[in-house]
This record gives sequence, structure tokens and C-alpha cells, in this order.
Amino acid sequence: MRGRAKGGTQVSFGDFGLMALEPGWVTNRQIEAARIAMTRHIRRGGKVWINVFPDKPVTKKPAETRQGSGKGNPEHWVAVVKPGRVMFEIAGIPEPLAKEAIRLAAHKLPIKCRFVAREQPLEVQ
Amino acid sequence: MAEVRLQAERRGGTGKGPSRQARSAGKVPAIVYGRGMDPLSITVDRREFVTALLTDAGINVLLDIEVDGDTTLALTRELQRDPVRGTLLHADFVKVDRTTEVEVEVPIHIVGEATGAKEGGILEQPTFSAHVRCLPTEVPESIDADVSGLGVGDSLRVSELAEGRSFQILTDPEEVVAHVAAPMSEEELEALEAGAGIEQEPTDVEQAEQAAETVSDDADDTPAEGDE
Repeated sequence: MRGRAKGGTQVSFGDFGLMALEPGWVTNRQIEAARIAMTRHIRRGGKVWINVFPDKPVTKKPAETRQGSGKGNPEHWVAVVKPGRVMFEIAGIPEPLAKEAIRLAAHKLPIKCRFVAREQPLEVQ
Repeated sequence: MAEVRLQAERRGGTGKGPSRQARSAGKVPAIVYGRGMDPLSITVDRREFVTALLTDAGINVLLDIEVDGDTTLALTRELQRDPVRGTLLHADFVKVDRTTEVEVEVPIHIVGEATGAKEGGILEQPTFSAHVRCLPTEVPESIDADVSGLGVGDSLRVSELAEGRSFQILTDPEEVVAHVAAPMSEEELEALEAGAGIEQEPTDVEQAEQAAETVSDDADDTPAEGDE
């Protein structure tokens, strides 16, 4: 998959976020697992936003089936994610708690991710 | 209001080739326009520019851009950054006049601790900046929003921030700046944690049923002996 995310690259709603560092397909189950991991960790303290939606159907042929006979059936749904995309946002909790919640969520996803804050530092290089 | 002098060079070529060359040489491609002047493509030193942006005024720092001996007073209108690395890719500068008002975005900072938050409520901030009209030399660094008086269910609106300011806030006065939401009940929390979101994992029974269906489908697809 080529290129970087064109939109949704900033933390827009919350204070902290989880940014994708590589391209990939994130399934509905992975998004849900990440959300539950975050919500369980922060308990009732904060608020969580999900900025990606799995709107792309992925088909699969059943196991041990011969080739042919047309395309397989829709198996699950994915969100197409490119580097730089802020997938989750979180607000209303202190930074150490947010960092840990985001770390737990990142473990549920199939791509490399990074914790980001609302005001990203400028890099001089 | 901070005012910083920035040395710039006229840019020979435009487009991705010359821009990439400029970036690899430690420069940031930029453009200056506004107030009737012809748009001027320039490059500024990345280190100098980042230092200017790191003043308390942030992106609203007033810049004296010096190109070929001419000085232009300007404000940064737009910054393009690499979404992953955060490095500066391009900057838009708009020429301003000291005596003419400009419209800028000023960040809103929450001050104090809301009473409602102490009682278990969640302080939410839906608006992070305000559109402000003022003289370029009097752009505020930030607008402080005191939330200490907010109880559970209370909101602070833009109209309350605008009182007694030397500048004009153009953002909708009814826009909510801060809000204390009621704490979640046990039932709501359980529903969230249980996963009432996009899709639930199938139960063991559902998985067993799916597996049984797959096996029967496979049996149908298996060719009879003697095929081929």
C-alpha cells in the first residue's frame, strides 16, 4: 500500500491518540478489542474516540475448496489504514494512564503504532 | 507579542524537485502573499523557523521576513507537516500591516479544576481554539478558560470567554468550550466494557455451528471418486 494518510493525522477531539506507523487492514474485531482494552483500563475516567471505521468487506473462500466457482463470500470488514492516521483518541485522564491504555490498545492491532499527544513537538533535524 | 526576524532566500524553482532539494539542504519551502503583493516563493532556514515557532506566541508569532534586503511583516497562515515524522514540509506566510486587523486562531487553555470533576464528573473540552480578530501586534498567546466554577452538567461557552477582552472573538458565542459530563453509571460502564460497539466476538455455540456448516459445505464440494 503506497503513501501516507491524507486526513485524520492530528489529534482532533481528545488529548492523546494512537497513530499508525505502517499501512495495513485493521479488522472490526481488532478495533473492538482495542476499544475494550482501553475502556477497561481507564474505567470511568475518560472518553474514547474511534476515528477509523471498517467499511471494506473482505471475502474468503472456505477451507479445502477447489479454485473456481466464483468469488468467495464476505468474511469480515476492515478499515484501510495508512501511516500517520490517528486511529483512536482519548481524553479526560492523566498522561501516564492514557499512555498505558494506548499501549494496551496497540497490542490488539496488526500494525506498528505510536502514542501521540495533541501538540506534537516540532523536530528540527 | 513576540516578533522574530527571519532570513529567507528567493526560491528558483517550484514543484517537488526543487522543494525536496531545499528540504534536504535544511530549508523549508514557503510562500509569502497577501495585501496586493505578487506571491513570492521563498525558502527559510528550518532551524531558525522552528526556533521562531517555539516562542510563547507559537504559530501566531509575528515574522519580519527578509528577502533580498526587503523586509515583509507576516504571520504564518498554514504549516504543512509530515504526518509521521512531524517535520515541516511547507509554510504559508500572509503579509500583514501593523495598523490593520487580522483574523487568527488562538488556542484556548483550560485553567483551574472544575468542581464537577472533583465530584467524579468528566471534564470535556470540545473547542480547542477560537477565531480572533485583532491587530497583528496584539495577538494573544492564548485564551484562558477558567472552569473552576463548573459543576456536573455545566458548560462554559465562548460568549463567557469574550467578556472584558481587548480583542474580538469571532467563533460562535454559543459554542461550548468546556463541559462537565456526569460520571458513568455501573450499567453504562459494564455495557461499554462488554463490547456493545462494532461487533461482538461469536460465542462458542455460534463458532461450533459455523464449524459444522463449513464441514457440511466441504463434504458437498468433495468430488466423487472416479472424477477427473
